Amino acid sequence: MPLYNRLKEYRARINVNQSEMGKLVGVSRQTISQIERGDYSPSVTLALKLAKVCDARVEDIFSYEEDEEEENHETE
Amino acid sequence: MKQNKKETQQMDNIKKENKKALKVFFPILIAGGLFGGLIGFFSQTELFQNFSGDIGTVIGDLFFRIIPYLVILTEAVTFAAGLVYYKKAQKDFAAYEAVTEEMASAEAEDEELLDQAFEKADRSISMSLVVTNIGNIAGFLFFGIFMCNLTRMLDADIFILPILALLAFMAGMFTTLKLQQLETDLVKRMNPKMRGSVYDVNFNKKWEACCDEAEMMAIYKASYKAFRTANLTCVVLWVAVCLGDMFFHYGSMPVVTVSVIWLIMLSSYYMESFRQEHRSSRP
Repeated sequence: MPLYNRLKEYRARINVNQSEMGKLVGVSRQTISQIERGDYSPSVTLALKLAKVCDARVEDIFSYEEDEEEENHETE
Repeated sequence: MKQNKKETQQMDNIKKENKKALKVFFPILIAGGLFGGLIGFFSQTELFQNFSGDIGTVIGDLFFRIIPYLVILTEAVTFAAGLVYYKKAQKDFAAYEAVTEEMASAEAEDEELLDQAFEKADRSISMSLVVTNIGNIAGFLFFGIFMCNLTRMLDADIFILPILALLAFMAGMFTTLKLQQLETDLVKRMNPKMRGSVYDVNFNKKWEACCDEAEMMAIYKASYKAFRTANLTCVVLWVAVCLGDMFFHYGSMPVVTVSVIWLIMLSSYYMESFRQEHRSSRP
């Protein structure tokens, strides 16, 4: 189940680079980069911290779409 | 009624999964048993007894002759290879620092360029650490074999070579430790939040405490992979040392050693798994 995010967009709005964002939420620059690339899904705690820094809701920044196969499996 | 149907379906799924896996597992089990039985049967024949005795003597004599040279060579190669990889890591780290400085003065950060430079430097430092550590373990392996042959060497009035091998091993330990410290310092410069000195007995704990959640996840995944690999290795080693006794007649010590390591590893894993599953943040 892929997790989509708009972290880069929100980060640009508050004019903060990856390194600065990392310092604000207590993770490394590489972790921010991995989240933005979709290579790492943050924990709830980290997602909440990111949302707070970006002054947005978690669901504005992160979203997921269930694929068709999973939907069919659940209805069965 | 609905609950019973669901439980029955779950049990059926479990049985189906076991049945499917058994179709592959059972033949492997039978083949393994037959192979072991054949080896055991033929190991008692006179021909095999003579052959294994000869093989054991030949290999034992070979190690006796070459092991001091192997110790010296291993330490020299480990140091040289470790140094070459460290120099490359230093160079790639300097390139990363240059990119970081460039980004700091630029209007907009080129994140992709920064990521690429970081990846390259990180990879070089990781390779450097791997080479140093593998070389270190190879050094321990050959020195261990050397120690097993030391009494025989001294009885044969061979003194110079053992002293040289011992000095090479000690020098290797110092240089490996120094290289590991330099490599870890490079990692800390790339990740300023990391703390801990390689000379500290609590280094692993302090290092782990500084990792963020993504770094911890990478550590956990790597650890689990290492656990699975070590588990399989213990099975293979156990078979190898059991069979090896037919050639080398070294007794039960190796099989006890392998079994103890296997037991500690599995117990440690299952105890920690249980602790993690049943931990509570409630006071």
